Amino acid sequence: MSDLDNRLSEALGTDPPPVRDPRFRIEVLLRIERARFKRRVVMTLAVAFAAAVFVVMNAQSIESWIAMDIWHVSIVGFGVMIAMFSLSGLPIEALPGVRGVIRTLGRWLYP
Amino acid sequence: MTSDDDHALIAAVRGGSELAFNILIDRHQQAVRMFLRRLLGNDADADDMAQETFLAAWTHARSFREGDVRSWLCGIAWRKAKGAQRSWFRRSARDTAHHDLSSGNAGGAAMEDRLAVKAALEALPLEQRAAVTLCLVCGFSHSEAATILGAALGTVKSHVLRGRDSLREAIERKS
Repeated sequence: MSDLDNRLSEALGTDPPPVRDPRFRIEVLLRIERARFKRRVVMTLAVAFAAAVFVVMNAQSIESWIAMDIWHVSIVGFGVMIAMFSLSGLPIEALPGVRGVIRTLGRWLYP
Repeated sequence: MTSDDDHALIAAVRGGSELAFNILIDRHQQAVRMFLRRLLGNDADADDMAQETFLAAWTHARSFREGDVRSWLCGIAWRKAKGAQRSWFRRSARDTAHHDLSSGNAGGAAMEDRLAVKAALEALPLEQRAAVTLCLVCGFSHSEAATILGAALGTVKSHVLRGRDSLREAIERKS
């Protein structure tokens, strides 16, 4: 290997990343967590939206079904409670852009 | 560390083991980051893309068939770099201009060589730069580099040969 080749490999090999880098690993794990969270939020919102559309489209039938028996009211109440519980567990503001929209809305409503 | 170990780790990652994935990151982060750092010319952007690479590896662990895990990871990194080519490289050239100027003041022959090689490497076409980085920096063979880049073996060999000549010329010109 000539002197030029030595200088070339030396120049190419300078400043390598550390062999072990816990900070890098944590950053990757954070990204995985963030991706998981986004997927969960999107899934929950999609299910909530589909449920809302279903309720709106079948409002009359649901109303008459509820009126049939007192137990039906309990079933609907239980379903609504579960839906509210699962939606309240989502910090929606953590989604990118949502905080900005809320701030803009706040400024517009309360100038 | 053997290839069998890596395959066992990938199998565990497919089953959702974060511990196995941590070990996989520890083993291969240096190679992936080194490849992307030389390819993009900007450490921060390269590390960001390396993290995206590992995220993709976690999500698509099932797509790993056989072969070397490090090559598979570098293949993901290469496709990401190629996909984001235009925006990343324009930004990286702008962001590193000042850094290069300031670090150039440090002086010394090794530093001059390093800056000359960095500039020459950035002047190479993307595929050529990737081939040179894989073979001369990361230590992959020509055929491994060809698999990673999805290119013909002859093309990779010629890229490495021409790329190395350009880098040597840059050092010679500097001295």
